[in-house]
Amino acid sequence: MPVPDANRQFLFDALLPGREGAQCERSLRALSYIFHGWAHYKGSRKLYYGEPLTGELPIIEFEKLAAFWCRIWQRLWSKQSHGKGTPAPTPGISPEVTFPPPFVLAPAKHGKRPQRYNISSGPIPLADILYRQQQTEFGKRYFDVRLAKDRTRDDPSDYTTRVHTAIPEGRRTQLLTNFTQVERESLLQLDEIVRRLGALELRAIGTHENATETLADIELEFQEIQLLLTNIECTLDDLKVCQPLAQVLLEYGDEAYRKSVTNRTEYETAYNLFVTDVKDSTLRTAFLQCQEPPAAIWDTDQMKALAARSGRVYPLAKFLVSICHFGLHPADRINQRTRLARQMKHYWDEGIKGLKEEKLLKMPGTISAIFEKTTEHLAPKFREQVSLVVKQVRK
Amino acid sequence: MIATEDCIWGVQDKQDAETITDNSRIKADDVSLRRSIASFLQSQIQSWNPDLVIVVERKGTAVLRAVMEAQDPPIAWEWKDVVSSKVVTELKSELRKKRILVFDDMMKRGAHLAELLRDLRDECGVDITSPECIRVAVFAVHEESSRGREIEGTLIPHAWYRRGLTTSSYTSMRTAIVRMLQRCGSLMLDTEHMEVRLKLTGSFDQFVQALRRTGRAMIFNSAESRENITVLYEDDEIHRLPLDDLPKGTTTDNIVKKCRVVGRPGNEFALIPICFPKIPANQAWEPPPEVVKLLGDSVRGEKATDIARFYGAGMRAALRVLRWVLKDLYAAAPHEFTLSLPGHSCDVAGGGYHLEHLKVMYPTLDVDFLNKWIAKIEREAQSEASRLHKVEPLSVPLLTDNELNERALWLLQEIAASLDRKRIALYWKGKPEPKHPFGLTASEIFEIAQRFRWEKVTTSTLFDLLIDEATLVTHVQPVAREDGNMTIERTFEPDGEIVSEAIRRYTTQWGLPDAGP
Repeated sequence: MPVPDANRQFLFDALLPGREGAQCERSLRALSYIFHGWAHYKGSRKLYYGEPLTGELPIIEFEKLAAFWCRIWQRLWSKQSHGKGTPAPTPGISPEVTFPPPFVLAPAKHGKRPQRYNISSGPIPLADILYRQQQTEFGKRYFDVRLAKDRTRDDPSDYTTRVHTAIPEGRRTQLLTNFTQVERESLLQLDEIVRRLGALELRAIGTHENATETLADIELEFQEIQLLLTNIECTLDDLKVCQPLAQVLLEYGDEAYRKSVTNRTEYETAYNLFVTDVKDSTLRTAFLQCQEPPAAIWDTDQMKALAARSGRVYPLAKFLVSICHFGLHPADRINQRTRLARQMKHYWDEGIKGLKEEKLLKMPGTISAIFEKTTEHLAPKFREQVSLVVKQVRK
Repeated sequence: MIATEDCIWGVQDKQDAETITDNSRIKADDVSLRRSIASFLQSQIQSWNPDLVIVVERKGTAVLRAVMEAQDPPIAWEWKDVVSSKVVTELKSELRKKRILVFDDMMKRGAHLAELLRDLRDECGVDITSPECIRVAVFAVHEESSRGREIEGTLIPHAWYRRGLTTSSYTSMRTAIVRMLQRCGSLMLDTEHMEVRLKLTGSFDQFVQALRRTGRAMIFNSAESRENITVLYEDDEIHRLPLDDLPKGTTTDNIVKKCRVVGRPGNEFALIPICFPKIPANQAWEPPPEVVKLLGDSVRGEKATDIARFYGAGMRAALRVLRWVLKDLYAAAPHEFTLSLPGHSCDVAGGGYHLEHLKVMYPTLDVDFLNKWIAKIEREAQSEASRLHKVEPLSVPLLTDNELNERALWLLQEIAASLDRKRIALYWKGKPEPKHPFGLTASEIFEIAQRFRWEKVTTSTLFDLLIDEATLVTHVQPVAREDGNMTIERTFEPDGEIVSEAIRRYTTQWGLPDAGP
């Protein structure tokens, strides 16, 4: 890291024109190399919600892989330059890692995403960067970002977006042209392990790094959840207004539950694989400095309290989404003929089960029994009960 | 292995670097730059004949002070007819019928000028679209604004000395102006702080040891190896502020509470006491009579603005800091210096100095009364000091200028990154871009510095280094406290768009500093 002398332009002299472009390009190549290995892996790995997933990653899981790479790479970079007053090696001629990742890992709607910040347009997440780039004359350079066919808008960040590799097998090794020996070795080792991880394991290792950050991420989800529960309580008399709120609550409840409960298993698998299989001591140290053991993240009292809270919110959200649907679609209350209706019945069952386990709600036997005949209004007695549950969960 | 000439990693512009390091040229340029600014300003004053000059932010004010003090060529203007953009809202309708010349040293996209024009229109009732009321003169304009910027119906600037500057030329011009200010030898020659000057007649080391009697004094060098000393006063029993003289509910923990000692030509030093306590927002203040006499009516009662109260309380608190520093000097090194007190503006021909420029920030300040107050403090400090015992000087971390520069850059990176993270969080919550000013409080910055295990005096010195480099700028803004109340506090942010963007690029290129495990 160059230190400007007293007669030179402080800060400005330390900037190198054109470097960020090169950094972005090399970072995408590094990420492309690892992703390519994952996409073409023929061995077995954990299924993605019961389905095998090869050749492509959903955008959320792809960005989490990128976030994980950024963390490790940042650590590998800073290993050589940190220290209190220790002179840094001259940039650009280091035999080690020659550049830090050019992305900011900052919280977005749900947890951290790799982003670039632009003063006029605000943060631009990686998904948008790649999609916008492939719309230009450069086309699909390293990645092929595909939006869902039945999409309502062109939003590369939508969870239905999938990422494919745009590099033919024969050109893969060219991705590492001009990388140093240490950089190559690190990427080869990362590739060896990442390719064996299922998409959900990638998501977990990208989402979590330590207890502090995980707690902060979950707290952010709960800030929104609290607001939503307050609004939902006021709209129980009008299920048309309540429905979109319940849907958003489900999204946040799902995220909070994943982060505080279900991600642990996937994180554990990925973490253990790294701990047992990374042989290179530099990469191993970087990994251990970046990623805390699962017990350190999830076995704290604070995390257990958040897990208990999300264990109440998540079933409540499912339940609310289902009653909104059945309130507005009386015909679905008895027979669920459509896919959507069956999904809502599934939410109903899971919601009821969860709320019963939490001893929050005594339920009537049928869906129809909670509504005023065939109207879209909840029966007064039941409305009171739901309102009470919302209040209890909000506490 | 990648060679430095590998252009993929970017190369430094050698031509620019040589120009900047050519010392003799810089000195010559200092004079010609100052003369150019002075001529430009004088021509604007002569041709437009304003009633009042408004200077924009701290650097614009500092530039005006540099050219007015040098009087080369002379500027036919008086400090009583200058006001800072930071305090225009205090003057309200007083400005309505006046011909106003707005002066700024540099303009990129004109964000600060736009903010000022809006304040003049909304808070002061000035017709900013009338060419008879407002004229905006900017010394150097970035190419982004070469065709002018339409702001609230007015195309600005109306006058400029240089325009069409590329980002590189603009940055060099900015650096040249900052260097010129540093060589003038006063803390960015700003107009927010009082100062008392002394001539060092004895040993510099003993002088520093005296400052370390109860303060923690750290030395760094700015342009031309000019000594700067930051003397930090800890939150201890002997450095308590006069709370009875300050607004009720004022808090003084983790605030800026120090004296800057800035080398000037001829072995002279300016003592600049600085103290900004946190005051409650929207709360009327009825100061004791002598504080009202000092600060004037602009700080008292319901009509006073938070900004006026904040700066008023700051001025009062700084007088207490002055007492501490003088007491230490008189107690530990009474024969090493000769103090000269500020005089009246008419009596400074023989090499004295005055504090009339403070009117820019404190429009209702009684400067004569301030002079008397300072003289009283000096007498009392001298008398009290004779009864004090010698004590062991306080220790400070030993850091070279290079180490301080490196840390200053790290701190700037961390401040910028922290503010960007806040902006990003607001964006994803669907909230609008925060309004200017948007900075970090001293407490927040001390917290960042704790991660690096830097002592408070180090961090405080880094603030000064960054401010002197014009890369960090101070503001006053309301801050929400944990109990839900609002306080008015000093905040710090990267200075303008050019610096913000440069520090973002620097962080991308070199990564954030690593605080270690």
